[in-house]
Amino acid sequence: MKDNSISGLNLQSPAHRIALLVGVGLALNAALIGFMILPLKKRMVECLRASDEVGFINNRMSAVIRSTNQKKQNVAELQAQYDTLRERDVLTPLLNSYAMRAKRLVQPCAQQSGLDIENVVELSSIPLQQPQPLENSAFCRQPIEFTASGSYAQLTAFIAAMEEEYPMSILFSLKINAQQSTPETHKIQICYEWPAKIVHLSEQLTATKP
Amino acid sequence: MSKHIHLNLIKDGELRTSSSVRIHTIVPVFVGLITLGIFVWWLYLYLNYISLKQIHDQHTEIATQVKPGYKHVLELTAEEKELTALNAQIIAFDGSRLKYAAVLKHIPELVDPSIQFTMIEVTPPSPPLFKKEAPTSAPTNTFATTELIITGRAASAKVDAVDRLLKALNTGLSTNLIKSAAIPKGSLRQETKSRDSAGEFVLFEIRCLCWPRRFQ
Repeated sequence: MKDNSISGLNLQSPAHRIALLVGVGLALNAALIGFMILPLKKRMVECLRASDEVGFINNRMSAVIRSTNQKKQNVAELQAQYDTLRERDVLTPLLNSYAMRAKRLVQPCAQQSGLDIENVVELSSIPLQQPQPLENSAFCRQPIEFTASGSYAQLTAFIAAMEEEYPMSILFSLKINAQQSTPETHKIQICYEWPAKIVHLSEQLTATKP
Repeated sequence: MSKHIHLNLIKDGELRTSSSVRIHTIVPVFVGLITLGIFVWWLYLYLNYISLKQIHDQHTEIATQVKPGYKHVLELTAEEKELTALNAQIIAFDGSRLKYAAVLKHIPELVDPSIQFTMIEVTPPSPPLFKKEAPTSAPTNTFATTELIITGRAASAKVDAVDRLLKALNTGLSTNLIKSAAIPKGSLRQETKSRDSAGEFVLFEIRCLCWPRRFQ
């Protein structure tokens, strides 16, 4: 006799066949839900989230991009201000020497006032104090000391000329010693400080590279 | 009376219900419909997913197009920030300016002929302060103080002239330079008399505290 039973099911019986069919159908449905619907829903949620994120970022970027012209204008204005300040006020080294640059700047004022500058020395730079301290300050205070001789009137004329000509040069220190041998001519040590751009060694090397 | 024997020759599987809706039919149909429903549900979700993916792809493409412009604005922002900081540093230095010329020019007018200056000194500004734990970081204070020191000698009989000079330095110079002037204790003293000196002289030192230089 032919065996049509599967683990006790009699396939000859229509009731059993239907029960088997229903069971298979339900299993198929469960599989459809478990392997197709749920993963798809998960992917949809992920896609929706990613899409929302990208959309949000796009909106933000678009909003930022709308300010491009304003930013360009601001940068141009700030650059112009910086160029003016740097050109007018910041001491730049002459062949890597701040002392020689300062001497070149000061000489006309000294000649105009009659002060005789005998020597010039570059002192150690001082970190620039700022209202909001920055980790990497671009500028420092660069004192330059001049040894000169002249009368008190010549000295005050020189200081006035410097204040007029170079407003950003600030008197750092001054020492006038009266001399017994020449009562009208004094030995003067006068030190001025300028804001100077901090030049790092790597920048110097790059600048001097042919 | 004869006995009737009832023989039921219908098998169990061949039994029919009196209901017009047979359970044997309705259950498979119901399961089939559920399967179909699930398939339709999947199809609906799939189409939605495709639509979402298209939107996502569009957004991604827009982002790719927008990114260079955005990057440019970020560069501009960084440049703006850097330039602002650079300008602020120079302006902070400018704010610390003290003018000496007017005061130094005016001082001789305050001095009695009996007074002779031996030295005039402007001391270097006080050094900046740093955090102890980070001495290489930026200075923490925004000001520097300096002094104008006048050293001289005057005839002992005319020592009042020194006092007048001190008062003039304290009150007569309405400038942005001198805040207060004083003769420190012990700084007015008798000069050791030498053989060739014509009279008695006193030595003095006047210390003028200048207004602080504020880096703001």
